[in-house]
Amino acid sequence: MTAQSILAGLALALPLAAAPDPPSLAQALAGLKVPPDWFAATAVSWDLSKPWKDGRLEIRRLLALDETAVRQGVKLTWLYAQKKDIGDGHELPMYLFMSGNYAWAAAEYPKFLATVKGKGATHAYLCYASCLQHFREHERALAVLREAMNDLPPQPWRIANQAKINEHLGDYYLQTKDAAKAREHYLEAIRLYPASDQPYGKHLLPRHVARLRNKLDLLALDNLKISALKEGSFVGTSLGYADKKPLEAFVTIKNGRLTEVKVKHEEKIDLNATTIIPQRIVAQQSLKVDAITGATVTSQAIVDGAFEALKKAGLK
Amino acid sequence: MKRLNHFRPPAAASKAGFGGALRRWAPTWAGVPWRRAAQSLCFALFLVLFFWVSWPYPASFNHESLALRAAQPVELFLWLDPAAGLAATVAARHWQPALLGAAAVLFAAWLLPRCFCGYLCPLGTLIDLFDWAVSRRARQPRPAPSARWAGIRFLLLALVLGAAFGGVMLAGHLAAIPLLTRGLVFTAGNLQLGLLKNWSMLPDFTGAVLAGGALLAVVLLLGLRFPRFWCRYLCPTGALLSLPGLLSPTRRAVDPDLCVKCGQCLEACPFDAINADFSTRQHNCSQCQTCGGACPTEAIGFITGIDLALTPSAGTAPLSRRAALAGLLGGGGLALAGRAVGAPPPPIRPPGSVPEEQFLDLCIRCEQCLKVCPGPVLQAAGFDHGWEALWTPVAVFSHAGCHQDCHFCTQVCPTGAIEPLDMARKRKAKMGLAVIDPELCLPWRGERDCQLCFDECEAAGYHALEMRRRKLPGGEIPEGTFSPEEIEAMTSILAPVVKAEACVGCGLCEYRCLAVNHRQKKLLPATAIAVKT
Repeated sequence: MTAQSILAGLALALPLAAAPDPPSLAQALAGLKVPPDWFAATAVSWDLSKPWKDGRLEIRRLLALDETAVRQGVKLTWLYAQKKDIGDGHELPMYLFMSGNYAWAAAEYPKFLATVKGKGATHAYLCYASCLQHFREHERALAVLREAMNDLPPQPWRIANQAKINEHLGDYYLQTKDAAKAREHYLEAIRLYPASDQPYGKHLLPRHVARLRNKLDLLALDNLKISALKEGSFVGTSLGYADKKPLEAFVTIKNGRLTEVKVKHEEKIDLNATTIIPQRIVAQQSLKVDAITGATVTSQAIVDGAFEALKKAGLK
Repeated sequence: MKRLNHFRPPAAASKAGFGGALRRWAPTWAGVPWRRAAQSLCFALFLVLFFWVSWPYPASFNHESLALRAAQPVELFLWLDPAAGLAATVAARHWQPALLGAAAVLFAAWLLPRCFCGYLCPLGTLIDLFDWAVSRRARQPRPAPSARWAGIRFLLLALVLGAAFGGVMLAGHLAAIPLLTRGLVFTAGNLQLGLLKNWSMLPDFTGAVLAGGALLAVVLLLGLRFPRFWCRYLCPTGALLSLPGLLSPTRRAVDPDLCVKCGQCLEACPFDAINADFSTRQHNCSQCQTCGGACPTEAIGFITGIDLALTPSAGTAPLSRRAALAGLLGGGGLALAGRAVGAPPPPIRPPGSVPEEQFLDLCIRCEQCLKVCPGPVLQAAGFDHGWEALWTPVAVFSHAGCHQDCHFCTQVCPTGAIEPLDMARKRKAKMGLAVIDPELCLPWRGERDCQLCFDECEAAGYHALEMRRRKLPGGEIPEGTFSPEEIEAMTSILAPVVKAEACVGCGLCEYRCLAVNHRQKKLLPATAIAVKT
């Protein structure tokens, strides 16, 4: 489980997590000028007579480049919107959102969403909710997510989007520090994703589930207070390198401390990971220990096994 | 002329005290202590090399600690087996280091006939041990068989050398030291693995394993009929060592004035080397001096010198010229007949193996490479790769992958069937090539993400796999439901591709895919990536 994957998962929900506090939505909307002043200084070298299906490709190309190109992309989007040649229009607020113009996107999304109500534009709802969260409009964001849940696309895309909204709700509650609700929504997403009968992209479903499990694990690890766990010995199993039997980790909790981790295994070459990793876990009272180089599979399996055991001891 | 006696005659020992007790309980230790000491020392050295130095799981498993083990002469006793060394050289027409050991032992056998058998051979010592523990209690006294029985081992020697001339290695199947190491790898070696590591690591129990273990067991059990039955009548290595002894300046001699014809020597001799008239069968005598230690009148002596004054022992030829010729031709014929049978495709050999044809001739089936292989990856072939490949090492990646930091097997081959490679060269030595089955591979089928093989290859440092983006079929998706990234992800997947120039065929990928996707998660009916020759 990597922090990176978690952050990637949260990227939609927290577009500018590291930036200083943004102004309030009301202030931002009051200061919003459409089109913005920088349009004058942004030169666009694109033949606007080309149809939108070519134009959108050019915009996506530009949005992936530097800031100047991103501005060109936004301007191009706007120019196509003025021409009314922009498909169903979902791309105007989306590209504004993608280019970091959150206030502008927050202004455009309600207009667009009103035009597609009942058609299940899940992604638009999620982006709009993210914009609102950016301005700490948590309650309005939650309302938008709820609305999204009531406006799902038809089958065969319904279940996947239901799962996706649950994941976003989980992220939302994680941000608003309600771990129990976050866990509930993550679990619901984990339950839903595998049930999706979407005609293609099915290979992504295990990926989504794995990502959600990572989020759950991280949630639990952040709350890891060994002193709050049940006393006793617990066993957890995990898949290591041996192929006939899973690895078993025996974890003992005594007087509010992780006193012992023992491993029963059939790993072929473990480079002593099966003794060193348990020692590290006990010494550091943590599962976030460095793996043994060359035995990463076994090291991870021990941590996973110990984690499973801690879950039985009441870790949430 | 020089006396070589080191035995202690019964008269020299006191009847009471330690000496007396020793003579009652371990008469050969009292009679020939130096011989027993030499045997024990050699056997202990053999055991240390076999069980300790050849143990490929040092406390800290890395290429330095493995290289340290590999630098030690694990294959020492195999080098000293002249039949195996000579036959490998002849069969493969290839000079190699085992010949030096063979030459040294043959020279020693000229100076002191068959001294290898009496003093050094770990198989002989093991037979003695088994004799002491089991056979001597269960054995019925029997008259010694005809002296012609000793001809059998010369016939076997002629057969295996004839086969070697015909280009087929059979000597390794019967030569003393490979027979011992093979039998031990399949029995005690596996026991060591199970007890010290875990039982799931044991290689498959195949007919080849059973046969190798059974051959050693039979060699030991033959002792129930006569002591050192194998050494007396069957061992081709002993036969080869007998040959220089026929010209040796060293002799066992009996003083007719002192001999009281009591027959104690006949009873004591483990090698059936004494005729009824108490003269010596030079080709059987191993100069072990057990008879000297048993003779109550000190009539027996061991002498050496160019000017031997005493009567040379009866020079009965151990094998008639006709029989020897028949053996040689028979072996050659066997080889030609065998070669005529078309060979099946070669299996995956250890890294650094010489080309298959030469490999079959050089490999003496000692299984030393199996013993030092962590995993173990290497297992003994049965008949599935042709009868010529029996007991040769085969890499079995369904059991483990060849470890990137190990070059142990290349360092212990006594005949150079596996060439000695340093770690850098071993990491480039190709055993085969990994091939992905797109019908099975999860990402190739577009079923789910998987990069187990890629991760394994990267961790091992070969960088022979690449995850390449592949387009997957897509179709209509309602607008605005998904982000462009999500739509892109739905229609593409990263799938592994083998870079043939970097792949060495170590099998790490194959084992990982099989272990996880097939055995643990049961997602696949077989491994989706497999090493092919």
